[in-house]
Amino acid sequence: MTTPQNSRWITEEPLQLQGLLDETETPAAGAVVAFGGTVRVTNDGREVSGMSYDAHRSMAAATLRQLEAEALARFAITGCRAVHRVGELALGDVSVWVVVRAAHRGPAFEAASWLIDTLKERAEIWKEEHYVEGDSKHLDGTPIQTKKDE
Amino acid sequence: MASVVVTVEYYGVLRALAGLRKERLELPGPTPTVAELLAAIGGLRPQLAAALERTAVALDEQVAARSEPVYDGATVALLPPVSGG
Repeated sequence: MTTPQNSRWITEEPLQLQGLLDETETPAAGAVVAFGGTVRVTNDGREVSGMSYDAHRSMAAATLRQLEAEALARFAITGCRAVHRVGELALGDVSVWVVVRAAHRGPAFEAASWLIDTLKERAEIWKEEHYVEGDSKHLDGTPIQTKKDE
Repeated sequence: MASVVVTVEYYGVLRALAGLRKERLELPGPTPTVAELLAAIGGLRPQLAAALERTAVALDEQVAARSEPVYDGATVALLPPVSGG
């Protein structure tokens, strides 16, 4: 099930914050919160040289789209967007943006926090850290819930 | 007895361990379950066996329980624990 617009949520291109701000802009909002995740130089005591992100693109895009809808239903916000980059990222590159607009800052902060936390638990995305020594490792993550089991 | 042919897609650490992105697998039919498919893959590629225990399975992009039947022609995505962000 591939939608023609998966790249709205999952893309190989460098992420552009301005487009997300433009998409969510409304005079009803008095607050905008943007969270970005970037590739960090150390993790678990090891020096990182870069990060690879892999995704099941259509499933991950559908999940991010669903999370946006859930955030709109759960919080008093006027709009939100979540976008994740895939492919090879360098130190400092932005891997993910979450943008939330709301009438007031409280719900904007809460929704942004919920969106990034839930994205990390549910989006069909995997990261592989590359180290300066030349090796690499897939980081452990959160198992996807299978409702009918257990 | 009819067999079931599926396309298996590997993601994340499974792709690295298997050394390939996807492959076609033939399972003895007529109605193998997701659990039986995983057991077959673990037998074929023992280096995946431990990771498969924490792997979710999607049949044509719908996450399926271990007890569900795998149908002929399905695209089976093997989704290990996720780590985006």
